[in-house]
Amino acid sequence: MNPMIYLYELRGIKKYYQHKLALSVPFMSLEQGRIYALAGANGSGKTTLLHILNLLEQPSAGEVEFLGQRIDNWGDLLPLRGQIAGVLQEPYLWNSSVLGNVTLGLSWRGCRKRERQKLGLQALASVGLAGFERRRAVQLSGGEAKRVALARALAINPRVLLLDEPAANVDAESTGLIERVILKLNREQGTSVIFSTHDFSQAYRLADQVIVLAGGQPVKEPRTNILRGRADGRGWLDTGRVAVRVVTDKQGVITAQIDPQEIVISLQPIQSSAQNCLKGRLLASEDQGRQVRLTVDVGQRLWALITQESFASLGVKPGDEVYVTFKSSAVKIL
Amino acid sequence: MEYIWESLTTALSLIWSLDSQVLEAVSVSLEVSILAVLLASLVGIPLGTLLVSRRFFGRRLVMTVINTLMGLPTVAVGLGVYGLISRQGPLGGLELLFSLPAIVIGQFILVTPIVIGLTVSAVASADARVVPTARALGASDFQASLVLLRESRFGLMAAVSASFGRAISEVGVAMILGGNIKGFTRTLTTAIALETGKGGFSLALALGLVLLTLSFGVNIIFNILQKK
Repeated sequence: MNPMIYLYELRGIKKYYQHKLALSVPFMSLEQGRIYALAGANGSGKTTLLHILNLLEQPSAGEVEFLGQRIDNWGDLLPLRGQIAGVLQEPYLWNSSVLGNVTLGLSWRGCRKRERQKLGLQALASVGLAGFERRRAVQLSGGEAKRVALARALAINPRVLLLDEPAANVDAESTGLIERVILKLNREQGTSVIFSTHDFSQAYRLADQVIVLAGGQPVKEPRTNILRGRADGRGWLDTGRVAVRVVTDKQGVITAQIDPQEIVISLQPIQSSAQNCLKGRLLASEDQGRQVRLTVDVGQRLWALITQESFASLGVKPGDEVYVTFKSSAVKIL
Repeated sequence: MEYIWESLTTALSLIWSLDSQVLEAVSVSLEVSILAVLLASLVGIPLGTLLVSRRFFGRRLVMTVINTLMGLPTVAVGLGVYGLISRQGPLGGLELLFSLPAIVIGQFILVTPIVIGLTVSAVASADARVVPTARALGASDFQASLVLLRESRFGLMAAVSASFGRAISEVGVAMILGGNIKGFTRTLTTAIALETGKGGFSLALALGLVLLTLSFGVNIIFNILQKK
C-alpha cells in the first residue's frame, strides 16, 4: 500500500437527479487506511456520495480517481469495483442460508469452495454470529441481518468498506458490535472505511475525519463545537488550548460537544450556576435568519447561536472582547 | 352412469397393465413437451429478465404483445407453422411436417410468451435492492442478473410449470403439425381426441387420467421444490 496514492480523489463532482442537484463536491481527497464519516441529515447527499465512491453511479460532471486511477469509462470498472464492498442502509439478504449469503461475493472472485467456507465462517465469527451459518437468512432479526450484511462485505476482504448508515434501525448491542468491528478491521487489516451517519456523536467516536455534508455539499467546518482532549477524572476536560468543566468521572482522551444553542454570550463575566465562563474574542458573526451564529475564540473556536434581538441588544462586533458561558452539563461526552 | 363406471374400471386396468398404446402416447407427450418447455425457458427467461432490466422505446408495446400472445389459440399456432413447413411452404424443404420436431416447434411458439410473461412478473416483483446489493459487493452485470434470477426462482418455477401444463395439455398443435400418427407422433391429447371420436371411451378415459396425473405430478414436484 503506497500511502502517497490517495484512496479517492474527487474533483468538481456534481450529481443531478431529474435536473435537481443532489451532490456537489468541488474537491475531496481521502487517504488510504483511514476511517471517514460522512455526517449529515437526511437528503444531505451522503448516500449519493457513497454510490459514487462505490463506483456504481457515474457523476453528472467531474472526475473520480480511485487508487490513483482516473475513471474514464464508467462501463468497465469490474476490477476496480472488486476491491470495494458496499453495504446498503437497508441491506437485502439473499434468500438462502446465512453462510450462502456471506460466501457469494467470494465465488464471484473465483474463490474455491473450501476457501469460501473458511473465510465465510471467519467473517461470521467476527460479527459475533458464529453458529448461525446454517440458519435461513429470512429468519434473522433486524440487527442480525445487518451484521450478516457486514460479514458479507468483510468476507471479500475489500480495500475499502463503504457503509451506509451502519447503525440505523439497529439495537444498541448490534450498534456497539458493528462499531467495534469497523475499528478492529481498520486497525488490524488497514482497511479503509467510509461510513455515512446522521449521528454526529457516532461520527466523531469512530472516524479519523468527519466530513459534514449539508444540502449536497461538504461543509467546510463542522458547525458543532467539538472538544477533544484529556479528562482528569475530576470533572476537567483539557484540550490543550482550553480547559472546561464537564460532568464525567471518565479519565483519558475523550471527545465532547457543546450545542451552540446552550452557549450564552455576554460583555461581562456572569455570576451564575454555570460552571464555565471563558473570556474570548468575537471573530465573526453570521446572519442565519432568525438567529446569528457567532464565532468566538476562547483558545479554540466555539460557535454560539443567539437570536437576532439578543445580538442587536449586545451590540458586539468582530474584535470585541466577550464572555462565553455554559453549564458543565451542556458539554456532552460523545 | 353405468357406462362411465365401466369405462373407468377398464381405463384403470389399462393403466395398471401398462398398455402399450398408453405408454407410447405418454412417452411422446413427455418427450415433446419437456423439450419445448426447455427450449422456451432457455429463450424466455433471459428475454423476460432483459425486458425488466432494460428500458427502451416501445417496451410497453412489447409487453402488451407478449401478454396477448400468452393466450394464443393452439390451432392458430398449428396453422401458422403448418403454412411454413408444409411442402409448399417456405421451409417445406426441411420435411418437418408430421414429425416430433414439428410439434416441438409449435409448442415452443405456444409457450415461449408464457415463459416470458411470467418471468417478467416474477423478476419485476423481486426486491428492488437485489441488483444494487450485488453490484455494491462487486458483482458484474451478468452475476447480478444471475442473483436476480435466483431470488426470483419461485416465480420462475411457476412460469416453467405453467408452460409445461399448457404444452402437455394442448391438442391443436400436436394434431395439425404431428398428424396423430400412431406410434410416432401420437400424443396423449391427440389419442384422446381420436379414441373418443371412434368410440374407444375407456382408452380415452385412461389417457385422460394419465394426463391429469402428469400435470398434477409436475405441480407437486414444483411445490416441493418451492418449500425447500
